[in-house]
Amino acid sequence: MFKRHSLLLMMVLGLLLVLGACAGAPQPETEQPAGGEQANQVKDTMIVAKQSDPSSLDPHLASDEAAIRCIENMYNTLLTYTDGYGEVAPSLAKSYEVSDDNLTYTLHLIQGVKFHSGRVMTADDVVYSIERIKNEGVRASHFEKVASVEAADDHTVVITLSEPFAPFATYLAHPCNVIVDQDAVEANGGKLTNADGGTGPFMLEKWDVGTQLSLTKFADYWEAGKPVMNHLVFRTIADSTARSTALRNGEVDMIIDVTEQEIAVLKNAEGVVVESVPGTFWEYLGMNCEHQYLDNVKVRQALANAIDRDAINAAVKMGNAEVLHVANLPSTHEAYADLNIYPARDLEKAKNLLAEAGYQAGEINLELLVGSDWQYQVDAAQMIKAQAAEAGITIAISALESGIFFDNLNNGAFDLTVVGWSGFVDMDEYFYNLFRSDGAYNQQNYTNPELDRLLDQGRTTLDHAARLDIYQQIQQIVAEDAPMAFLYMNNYTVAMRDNVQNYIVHPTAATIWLKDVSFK
Amino acid sequence: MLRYACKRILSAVPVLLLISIVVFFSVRLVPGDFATIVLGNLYTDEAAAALRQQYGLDQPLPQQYLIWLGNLFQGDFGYSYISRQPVAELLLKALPVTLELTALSLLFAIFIGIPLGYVGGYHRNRLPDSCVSVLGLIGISVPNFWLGSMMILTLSLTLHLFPSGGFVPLSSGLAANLRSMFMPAVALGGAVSAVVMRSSRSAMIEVVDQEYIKMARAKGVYGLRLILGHVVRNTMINIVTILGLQTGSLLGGSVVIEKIFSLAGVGSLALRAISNRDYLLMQGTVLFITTMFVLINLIVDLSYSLLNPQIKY
Amino acid sequence: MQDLLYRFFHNRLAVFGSALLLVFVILALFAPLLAPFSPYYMDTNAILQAPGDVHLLGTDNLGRDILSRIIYGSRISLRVAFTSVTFATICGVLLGISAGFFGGLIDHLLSRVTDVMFSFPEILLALLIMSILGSNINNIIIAISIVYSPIFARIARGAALNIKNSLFIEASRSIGVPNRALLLKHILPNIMPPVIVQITLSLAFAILAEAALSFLGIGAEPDTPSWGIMLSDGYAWLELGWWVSVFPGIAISLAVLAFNVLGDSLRDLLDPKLKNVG
Repeated sequence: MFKRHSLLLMMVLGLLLVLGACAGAPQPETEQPAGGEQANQVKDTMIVAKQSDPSSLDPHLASDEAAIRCIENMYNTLLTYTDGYGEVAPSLAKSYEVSDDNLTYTLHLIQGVKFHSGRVMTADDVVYSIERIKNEGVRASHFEKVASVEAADDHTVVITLSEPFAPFATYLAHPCNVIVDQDAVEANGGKLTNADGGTGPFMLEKWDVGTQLSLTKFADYWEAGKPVMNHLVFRTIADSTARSTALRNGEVDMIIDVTEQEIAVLKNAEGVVVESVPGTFWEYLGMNCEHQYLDNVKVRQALANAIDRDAINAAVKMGNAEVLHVANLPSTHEAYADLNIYPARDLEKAKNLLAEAGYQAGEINLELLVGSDWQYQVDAAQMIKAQAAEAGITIAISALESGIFFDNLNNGAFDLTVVGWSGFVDMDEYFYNLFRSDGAYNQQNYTNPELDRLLDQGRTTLDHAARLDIYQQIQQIVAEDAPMAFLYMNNYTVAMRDNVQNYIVHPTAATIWLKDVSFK
Repeated sequence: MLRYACKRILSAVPVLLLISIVVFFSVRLVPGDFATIVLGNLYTDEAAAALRQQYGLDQPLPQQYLIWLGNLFQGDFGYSYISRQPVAELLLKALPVTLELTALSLLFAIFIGIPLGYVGGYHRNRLPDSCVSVLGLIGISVPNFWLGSMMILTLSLTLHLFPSGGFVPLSSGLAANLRSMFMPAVALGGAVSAVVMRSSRSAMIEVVDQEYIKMARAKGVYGLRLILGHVVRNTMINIVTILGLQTGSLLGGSVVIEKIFSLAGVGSLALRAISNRDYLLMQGTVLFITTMFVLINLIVDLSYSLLNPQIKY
Repeated sequence: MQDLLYRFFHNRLAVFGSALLLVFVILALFAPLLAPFSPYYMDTNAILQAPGDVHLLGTDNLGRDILSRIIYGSRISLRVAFTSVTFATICGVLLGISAGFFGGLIDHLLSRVTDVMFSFPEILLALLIMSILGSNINNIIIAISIVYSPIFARIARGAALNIKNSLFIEASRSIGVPNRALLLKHILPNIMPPVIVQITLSLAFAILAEAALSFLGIGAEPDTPSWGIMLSDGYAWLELGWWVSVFPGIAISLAVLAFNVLGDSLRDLLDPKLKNVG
């Protein structure tokens, strides 16, 4: 009789095992309520979905987009971006004066700002933070001209520059040039990778690496009535279809990196609002200028003429991005140079340039690295491969995971790459780190002494008209030297549930207005 | 029986050891210096030195293996530098998802595959059998990740019946949890249910012609009672063996299904580890999955005596 | 042999399976002649077009003809499947026969090794191998060969063991027939039936495995017209272009079905005693 029911017994045991495992197991990632289950309660949690997980939470050391978007909600800067692109307003520094010779900045701090640990922020913390960026940070070049930074008293900071520095105010507002808590840094071995040393509206609650970053309201935040939400959750959903479906089902409230193909789908979805603004995310074909073939400018120019930017835009971005015919500044930027150096694809010119460089068709073989996480860049790479083949240059594509991809990029271990940068505001940001010899972001190993001179001049010239003129020249050199073949500037699109209000969609993709957000 | 059980368990030990050796060496076979490949872009001299000390990298290989094994038994599966968490922690968090997915897929395979297979075998060469045979053939030919995509397309994106991805834990409600697991379980369990269907069908065919079935029929036992009473008992061994072997295919298939449905289980952990060259995490997940598989087959072996009283040890 | 052929061509399943397989073989061999477009050609005026007159099965998001890519995809799938299964068969059978025939240490070692390899879920083992070797089509072939060798070794060993102990072999040995002759003339032909059946099954699995590995992004270059890569591409466009995923999936299913049907019918024909264990 025991044997007869043995099958049933095994199945029951199996079921119990399953239920036991699930019920008794530690809570997996998601802790918040599912989709429509809590519709009747007042929602106090804002769930934001994005494609990638932050690489680290250390504001001064992180440079990836995903990290910046999370960090800027945990920290504050001295000045801050406003809803207008290119403008800054006071933040931790409630006011500031610049001396007549433009070398001394005196910043007056708000009193009573607290760190998440409870300690009050003072001018010493500002001094510490700026010095940390200068000594260790990836954006050290933003503070390169700072000769000294001192605390005149508890609430006054005096920064002295060695030369006039035009973009300085803008850099003080960069979301990652924040004031950090020295105690927190030291308590975590000198890095804030998993820790919170901020003064911002939200503080770190829990970080499930690869899945979700949970932030909670900082009750003692210095801005009255902010943040409105009690909890802010950044959820990583790598797949764009899954992301948009989650939004449509109400499982997340906002997506901050909507891809072009998802826009079409989301625009027709019920209960979803899609907002697009001209953006700051530009993509390019990067060329390693130390490579055997690519150190010849004619080869680079051949590639720059062989690619059909309009076709790539039409196919990969549904025609919605703005094609870049000169350098990386979009036509909406005040410093844009209307030079039209690459009006359209010129296959003949490309072939001639290759011949002038002394190479036969099919002689050059290059490897193109691209991040497999970003399908639109993989697609662009495939189109570039086909277009370059027609000009006689053979390309093999290698799609790598983001970790290894950025590793190779930073170590110069690539021939060609398709990738992008975003979030730049001041014209100096668009060029200095990227194209100056030994610039922090100069992965192309590009060097041009004349350009270096212009770049240095550009950041220390305060006369606006003169500055614009310098950057015209810079754009011309960069476009003609072609260390990068610039593709397009993307719109920045955010999609959210229609009950989300007070959010500002900013060209730099900054999410600092999440502190104002609430549900209707 | 007990003696056999002990013998069987003991014979699993060398297999597990060999598996651990294979996994241990798989990382050592990767070209490059161990510390460099494990730390990746987080390489610093101090971290490398610490790693060298922890794993005894300056000692001969066999010694390194023993150190690594020793760590395992203390629960130290290594540290994932990319995820910045101990491997054991990551595994523990991912485990419930994969366990539930595997269990549900297995249940699907059992409750769909076995009855259908019996029906086909019982009515051999008639219409139900043709249907079952065709269904079985199609089931083992369709790739499970494509089936998953098609289900997402129809049931989720078009009909909005199920979420297209993401795991909803039991703590948020049984209904929501099952809703989020329905499509993954069917996609993963589909191929397995087809295999089970085919083998229960042939098992049924074999059994149905046997003398004792004819005897039972002559005594007036028909239909469900016949099946439950006689057929099941005699076909169970084959079917359970198949199920045991197919869990391997479930565990492997979970890698792909978890990716499609955005489930944070052990399979997607393994995939992430391999793509990111996160070698210690890769070691941990692969070791874990294969050990699970070996243990499941061990349980299957030991259950034979429960299933068939004729098997005496 | 003639009897076998006769029965083969009168078995409906066998004929269906072979016909389907033949379709794919023809597609693969004559791809340049049969495909309307180059699989790499991007028609920028026909982005994500639904199936229609010019592009019978539609185009993908870069304007590439789906039908042409499926036809060229059969080349990759069949090439990977046949090459890897050939290697697996040769290695596996050689090792298995040696183990079964000579016994002793070789047998013991082989059994342990195959036990271990069977403990790894197939996809995982393939992924592990590729993480060591690197991602490209040739490494996929190597990985799949390694993953499927054990089953051949086990079958060959089992069959060799059975025959080795038969009276016939003992008699031959006693009159001094050398081992090699025994192996070639007697053992090899007798293990053929289960090995042949397993070949068709492994071919089916190999196609699925290649598709799965390409789908996971571990494999060939992104623009390769492999069925697995097409499925992975199409997954992002499910809602706007269902045809990008549906047709490659049907192609994979049909190719695998062909091998499975053949395998089933061969099993019935060659050795009805072999149980249908999937």
